[in-house]
Amino acid sequence: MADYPVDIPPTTSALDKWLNTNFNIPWNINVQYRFSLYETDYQRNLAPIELAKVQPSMQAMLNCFINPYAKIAGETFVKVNFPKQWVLYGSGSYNTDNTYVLGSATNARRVNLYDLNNFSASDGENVRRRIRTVHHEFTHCMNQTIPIPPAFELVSKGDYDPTWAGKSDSTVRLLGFISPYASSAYTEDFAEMVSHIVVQGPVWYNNFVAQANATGKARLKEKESIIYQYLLNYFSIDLYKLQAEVQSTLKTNYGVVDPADITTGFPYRMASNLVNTITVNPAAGHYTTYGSSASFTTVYNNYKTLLFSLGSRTLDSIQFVFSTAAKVTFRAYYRNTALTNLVADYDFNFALNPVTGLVTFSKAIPEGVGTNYSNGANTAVQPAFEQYILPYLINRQFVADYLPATITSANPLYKTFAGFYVSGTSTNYFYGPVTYK
Amino acid sequence: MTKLIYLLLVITLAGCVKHDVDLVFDKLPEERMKERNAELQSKLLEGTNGWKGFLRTSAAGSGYGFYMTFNQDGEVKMYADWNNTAAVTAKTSTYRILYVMNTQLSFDTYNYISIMQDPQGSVNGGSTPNGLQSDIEFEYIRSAADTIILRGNKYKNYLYLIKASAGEATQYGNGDYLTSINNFNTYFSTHNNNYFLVTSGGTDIKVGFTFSVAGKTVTAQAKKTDNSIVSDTRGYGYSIDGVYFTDAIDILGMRIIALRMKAANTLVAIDGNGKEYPILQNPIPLADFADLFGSTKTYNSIYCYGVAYPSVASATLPTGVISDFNTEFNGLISRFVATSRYIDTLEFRLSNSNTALVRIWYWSGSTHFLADASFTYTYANGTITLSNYTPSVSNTNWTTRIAQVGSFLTWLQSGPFKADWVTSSTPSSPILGGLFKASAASDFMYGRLRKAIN
Repeated sequence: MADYPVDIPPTTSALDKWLNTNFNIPWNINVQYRFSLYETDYQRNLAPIELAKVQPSMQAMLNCFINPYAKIAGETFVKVNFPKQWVLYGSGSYNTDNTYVLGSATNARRVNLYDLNNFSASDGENVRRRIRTVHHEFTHCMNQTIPIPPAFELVSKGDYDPTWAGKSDSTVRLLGFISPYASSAYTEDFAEMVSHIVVQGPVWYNNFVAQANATGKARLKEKESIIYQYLLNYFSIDLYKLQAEVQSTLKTNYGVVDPADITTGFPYRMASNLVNTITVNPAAGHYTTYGSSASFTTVYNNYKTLLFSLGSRTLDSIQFVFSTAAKVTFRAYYRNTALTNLVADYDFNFALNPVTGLVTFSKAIPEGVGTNYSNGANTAVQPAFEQYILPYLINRQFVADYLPATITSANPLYKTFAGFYVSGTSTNYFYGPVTYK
Repeated sequence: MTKLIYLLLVITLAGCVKHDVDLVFDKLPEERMKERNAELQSKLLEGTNGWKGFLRTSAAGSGYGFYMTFNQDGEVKMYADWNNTAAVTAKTSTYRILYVMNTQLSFDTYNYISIMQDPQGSVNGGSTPNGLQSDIEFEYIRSAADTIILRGNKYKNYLYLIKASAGEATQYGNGDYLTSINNFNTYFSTHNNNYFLVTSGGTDIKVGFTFSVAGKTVTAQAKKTDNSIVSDTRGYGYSIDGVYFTDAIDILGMRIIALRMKAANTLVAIDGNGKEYPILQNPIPLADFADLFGSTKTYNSIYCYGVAYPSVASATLPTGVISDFNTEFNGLISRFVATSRYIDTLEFRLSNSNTALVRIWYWSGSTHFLADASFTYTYANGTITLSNYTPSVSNTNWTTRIAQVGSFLTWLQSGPFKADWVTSSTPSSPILGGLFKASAASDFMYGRLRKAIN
């Protein structure tokens, strides 16, 4: 064989030594970073990787892929199952529609990783995106060794569609898919599920599931359960231990941060019909301590003044009473000249985005029936509401949130106050103590 | 049976003897492969002062220049004319030589040469997913004492490597590459109507050439004695000692391979035999005015302009031209200024095959107004004859401002006019065109040329 010319001459560069020490010797993995047209799809133009990007990107593979698997599944598992040839490229592998592939796997033996010239170890989400690709590809490798259980394919059967590129998360999650790409084929679905659960982490995953409808939730959970059993039964891998390991290294080495848990967010609680009331009483001490909105105070005072001038009724406070996940009652507490405490009610519907908190109020028609509503319809009471409160609420888009901003998550009072601010105008807001159902 | 087995064994062993067939070539294939690989490797290492490289790309034919130094550890150090940084910052990557149907030089990790090959349009300005359509793997074609010729595996463009001298190596190291690039660009932005003289069929013919600095291409064009036009467009790359064409410019039987700056502002073209042709500048463009000016031609408008609002500066004529019209123009400007109106554009336009427009844009306060008139025209043998004067085409402003237009209208009606190039004594003047009164050649309206969209 010595008579034949070699395609890739061995070098003594520091990089090659490092790859040898960390991949060839322990894992029998050959990292091929030097471009060869022969290894690529001739139809596609692929740029080679920058020399400086090889070690950091492969270090990330060690940290977030090989080591977690070695720890959870054992070194023998890694030696037996991990692909032996890793081919690295600098650019994405472009499809004809200009979408591009970040990774591909063949025959459980080879993995191609693309777009590594854009790898950045200082950007946690950038690392996370690439690690997700590797986990995705390796899931294919496992599937090429032990096929996907037939039950998996049946969960979303009939909803797979190869033209995935134009779809959004919010569309596909209703069909029980973790990403648009997952909706392209059941094999991709399986790999996407594993990679998202493991690499995006539990908070992200729960947020995603929480935003699905009942069908979507059930399907996602069923797939998750099949995957858990598959990994445990055939490979003795605990999905959640693997997830914890990968999350830990991503956070320690690359500083990724979990997204906010939307299920504990105010909009999500509101949308889940868990919120009871928000009371606004400008005389309360917390407005002195934590501030109030001048814009809203003007509206409130105008309302109060007109109510008094029309029939000498004195406004004490107002309250928002959430009766369902889409209905709220605006309630005014006031006294008449005889100092009798009275209540006037007006119903509103609201449309709410449980993630962003964007909410729009509209007047519910017809008005409810009962003493509170007839108080509200009184000719000395209703005009003030219609002149100030009604237009204020229905003519703006609000954002529901824990307010005021001066009570941060470090404050023990956080989440005991909530309210609404005008979308895009954070200085126009109202809030008060919140009670939950 | 035993005998049969022995017989088979003998036959099999006989089949293992080496060289029992005649070699068509004088050596074994693997020996010849190794030899040819070694030849390219030693050739690359022989250029201890590095190699000046020139490569064409397929997307738009643009060319790029490089300076590369190869070492025996499989590393290549590169400069490139891709941008200012690449011209002064050395970047190291790996290369290797392997045999794929032929000996091949492969730039196998990212370097400046990979920029053109990168599929991402965002990297190189080409279109995704093919970028500028270039190669990083090159087949070894042949070499000479100071040259290596390689050809891209996929797009089949040649990569020429020319040995650099020790002095040039020092210059590249000192960052002089960028200076050299800037000198060339400055030369071409300050010298218009460049040409060199070629003797063809006993006649001196001016071969004009225009550089597209952004497109990295050069076009040579000449009008032969029979009035037919020949032209050739090639990519080019910068080098420390000149501009090299990625393929020779082939025109009138000449093969021009490079341009070289002999001294400050002295440029020569060099043909394949090393013969030099000085670059000269024609006072006017080499093409006939009539070939370029007309309602459907390259230019259809002669115009001059001032500074945009809110300045109250009026339009000015291009500098360096002496014409009786200058007085007429100044009078027109002053009549408008006297009514607190400021002309910012004056234009003569061949709007379609028989209608010419005279358009005056002016500011009054913060409002921009157009006053225009039209003429019917004929344009034959370079002469424009105007008739059928129609005031106020787009609106009534021409009629309202007729007192300010004043004698300019008389001037317009004093044709016919000869349309031709106008020369300016200002060296960096843009190309100018004008309408020369047939009755008085020293009296001509002139301005910059453009293609105005009606």
